[in-house]
Amino acid sequence: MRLFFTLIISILSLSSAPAQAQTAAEILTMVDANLTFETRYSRATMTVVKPRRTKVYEFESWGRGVETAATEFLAPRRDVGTKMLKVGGELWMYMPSIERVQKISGHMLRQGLMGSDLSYEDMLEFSSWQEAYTAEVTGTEACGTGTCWVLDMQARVEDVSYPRRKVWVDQANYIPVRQELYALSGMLLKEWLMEDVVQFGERYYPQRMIVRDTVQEGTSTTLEFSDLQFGEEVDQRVFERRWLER
Amino acid sequence: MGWLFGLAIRNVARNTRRSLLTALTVLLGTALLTLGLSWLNGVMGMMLGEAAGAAGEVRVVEVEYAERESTLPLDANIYDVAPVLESIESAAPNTRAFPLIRSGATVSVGEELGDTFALIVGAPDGYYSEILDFDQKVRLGEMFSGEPDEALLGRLLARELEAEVGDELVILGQTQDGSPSPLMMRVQGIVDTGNAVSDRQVFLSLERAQWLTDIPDGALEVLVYGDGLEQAADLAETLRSSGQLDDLLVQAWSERELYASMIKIVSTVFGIMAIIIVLISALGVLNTMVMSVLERTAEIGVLRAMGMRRVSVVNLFVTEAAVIGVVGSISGLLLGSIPAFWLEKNGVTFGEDVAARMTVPVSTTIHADITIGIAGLALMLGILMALIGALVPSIKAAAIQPVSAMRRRR
Repeated sequence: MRLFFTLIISILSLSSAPAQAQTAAEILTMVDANLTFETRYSRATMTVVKPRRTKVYEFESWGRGVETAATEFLAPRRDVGTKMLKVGGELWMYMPSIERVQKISGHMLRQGLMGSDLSYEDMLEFSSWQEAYTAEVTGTEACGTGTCWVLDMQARVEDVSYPRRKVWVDQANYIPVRQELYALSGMLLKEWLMEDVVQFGERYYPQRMIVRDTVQEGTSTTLEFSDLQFGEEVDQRVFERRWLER
Repeated sequence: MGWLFGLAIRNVARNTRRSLLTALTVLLGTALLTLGLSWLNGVMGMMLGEAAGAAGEVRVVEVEYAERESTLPLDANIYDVAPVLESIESAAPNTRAFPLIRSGATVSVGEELGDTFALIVGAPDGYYSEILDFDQKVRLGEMFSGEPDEALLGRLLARELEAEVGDELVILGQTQDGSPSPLMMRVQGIVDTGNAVSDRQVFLSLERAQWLTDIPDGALEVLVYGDGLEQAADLAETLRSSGQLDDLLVQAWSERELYASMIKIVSTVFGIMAIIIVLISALGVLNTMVMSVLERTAEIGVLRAMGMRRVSVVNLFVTEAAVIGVVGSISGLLLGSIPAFWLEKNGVTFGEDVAARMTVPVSTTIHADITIGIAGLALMLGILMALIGALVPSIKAAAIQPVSAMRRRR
């Protein structure tokens, strides 16, 4: 019996040792390793819940590095063929019904994408947290079936969507399973949950994200990936302006 | 009493110059009142007739829409408008009801998407032809022919976009969920609505506006027209008491904050203007009557010494003022009516610069509106100001002791 308890204690202390030793910077490095990528292809549904109705969008998305991303909507019918392309700090939107490309810039980037709780930046921005934020581990909390580090992150650059983030990073997989996103004034803007985490090689990635804009009442957006591929060859033409009108 | 009136007439006729001067003051005051009140009546009538008329004698909306109306909340729509129309038809059979959608969008003509903002109005053909009278107001091109992608452009917006009939018009609006919603239309006609706000709008069929905003079977408002603006409150009550529209807000135009405050403002201006004109004219009358009393102090003393009572002295001067007031008011009414009738017929048109800055949907040409009520009011106020002007010096005159009055010399 004594041997059994000794074994249990040893296992527990071994498994918790790396967690305690992790600095905030190291945690962010691991989070970046999960969430940023060389290339990514995904197919997803986005369910936008409003107080009076729910709308479901379906889209394919391609990402290259932290600055380039493209999205094409497949449903609903009125939005089929709508495409978005982000290259660097610029974002264009192609609307097939008028065969025109609209540049989305300035404050519009922070408006809801297709009326969802996600902004255009949220959807197409994959920048490194380690580069954009300084972080401090403020404690640990139970989250889901495991334990999370609680990180308080302050922006170190000006052009970020959220100057402050409070993030719960799962110690088991370095996924920020919960985030609170704040404005410069300290007002809570959004809550962001990441669920159904799946392992892709050495990377973990959530298959479902739930975002709630706390400024609006009764809204939420759920993003569910039905297909996720990392590091696969992506047709580079989708990252060209010509692709929009093709 | 007859002798008092005779004496008053004689006194009025005795100093012709003074009486004419007093009558002229009353005349000018009454003429100003007639013209000013007719003008204000025209402005008020136009505001209510056009603005409230176009916005419905009665309207039916979601409560939430009314609360956030200034932001045109597309999500606070009546999601299925057909049962609402049926309820209105059943509760008030002799009315006309039109579903309406209003939404902001950027509009452009040509390849490049522009950033010109305009209000998009979507309504059934009947609203445009029967209520807004567009059949008579399309200046270039034609009225809707029934094709789905036709748009009418307000004159000022067409000029700003350099749009011509037949051009492709690109509208970039929003759905009720807030996602971008593009629409390609063809400019079917350019309409001169006569008011600057509407002249900067785009008019579509209800179906296209429903598509643009993604409100497939609904509308933001249902506008109801019955027997005119004056009966609107009764119509609203009829619809409310039917019990079929309990979930919605039924408002007569006069119950809507915008128009209620508009009426209040215009009525206040109306009252202040009338008071100012009455006071100015009364001061003129007061001045001449004071002079008259001073000139006739000795005469008053004699009359008092001969046994005329104080009240009779007051009556004498007031009767004199009334005679002058009646003559001056009638003449002033006639004089003021000439420009008032001219303004009623021709109106005054604002310059394009002024029109472009107007935010209230009213005509750029404002007509006066002279009515029997206005004429009666001006006449009554003209006489009133003569009486007010005469009252103070009369009382003062009556208070003078006969002996001291007789000692005074001019």
